[in-house]
Amino acid sequence: MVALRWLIQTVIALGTNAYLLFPWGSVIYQGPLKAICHPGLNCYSCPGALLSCPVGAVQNFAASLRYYTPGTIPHLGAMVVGYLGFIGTLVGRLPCGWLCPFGFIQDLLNKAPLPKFNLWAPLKWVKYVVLVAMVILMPFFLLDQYGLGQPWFCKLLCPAGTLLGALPLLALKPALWTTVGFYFWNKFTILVLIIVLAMFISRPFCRILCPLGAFYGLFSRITLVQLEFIEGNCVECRACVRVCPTGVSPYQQRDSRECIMCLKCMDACQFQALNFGLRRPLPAPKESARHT
Amino acid sequence: MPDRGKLSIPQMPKTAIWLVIIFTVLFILGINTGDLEYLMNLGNTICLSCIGVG
Repeated sequence: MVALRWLIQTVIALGTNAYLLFPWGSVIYQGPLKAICHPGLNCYSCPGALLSCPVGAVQNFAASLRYYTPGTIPHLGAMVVGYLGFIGTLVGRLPCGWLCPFGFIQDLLNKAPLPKFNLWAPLKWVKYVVLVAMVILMPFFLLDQYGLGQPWFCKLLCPAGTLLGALPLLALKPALWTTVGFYFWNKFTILVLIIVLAMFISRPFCRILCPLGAFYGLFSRITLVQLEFIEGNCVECRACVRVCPTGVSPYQQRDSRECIMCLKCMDACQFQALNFGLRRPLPAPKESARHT
Repeated sequence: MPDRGKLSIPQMPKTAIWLVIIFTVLFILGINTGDLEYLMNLGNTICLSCIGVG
């Protein structure tokens, strides 16, 4: 399973960033595939990107609502919300574990032979603030100096945009260096911090800051697929806890919002106490149990 | 008095199915209101915010 996940992560990361004509033609891909969003976080300004970024799209739709002209059809971003909600309802945070290129980069960084540390658990709530404030509210309400709504998450925070979009574009078009300022250096600092953190802590961006992971996580208790815990088989050896990249205890926290369904825990369990499949309704309590 | 356990827990997959239907409708609604073209235009221009211009 581990090898399969590495293979899928590699194929998806390379396959969705497979535009190779950027040194000769347009510096970014401009074809019809850009109408489709990536299920993970992948900057659409990456020279190789074939798909759009869902977080960038939601912010731009939110920012555009301010300029709605009466009599025209408003762009509510229903397509992107429907797309992400559909994925979230079916598989929850599985795209974080299997499909997200920036998650894959963090997985690779965490392979560095350095001491590993646990994340301070309350930090996991920050990503919900990022989702509501920076992705939904700020693009609509907060205007820049020109009176325009902005994708503030992309502008202020997104390290995937800096790594996959800004740095390659600045390398390809050195003239852009004259236009960058505070926002670039702020994001560059965040990127460096995330890279360093990822070597010591597993998936720090996904666990602390990612608004897409926060959104998918909202569906964790109702997804059509689930990581099923078979209580009778568990001996509480904690092998699953030791391998979990997001610090979940699969045998204590069922349907955790932090679970990215990487299935490392299932591989680690020697007693078949974890199983991945379609969600089954829990059996109704027995008559005798209900009357006691 | 209704039994909460019996009524709510087995309905969870139903919630997921309803959400799948709602999100599919939203997706189709978005396509019909021009979100596809909007998104394509968006993706075809370099995102200056992503670079950190300003």
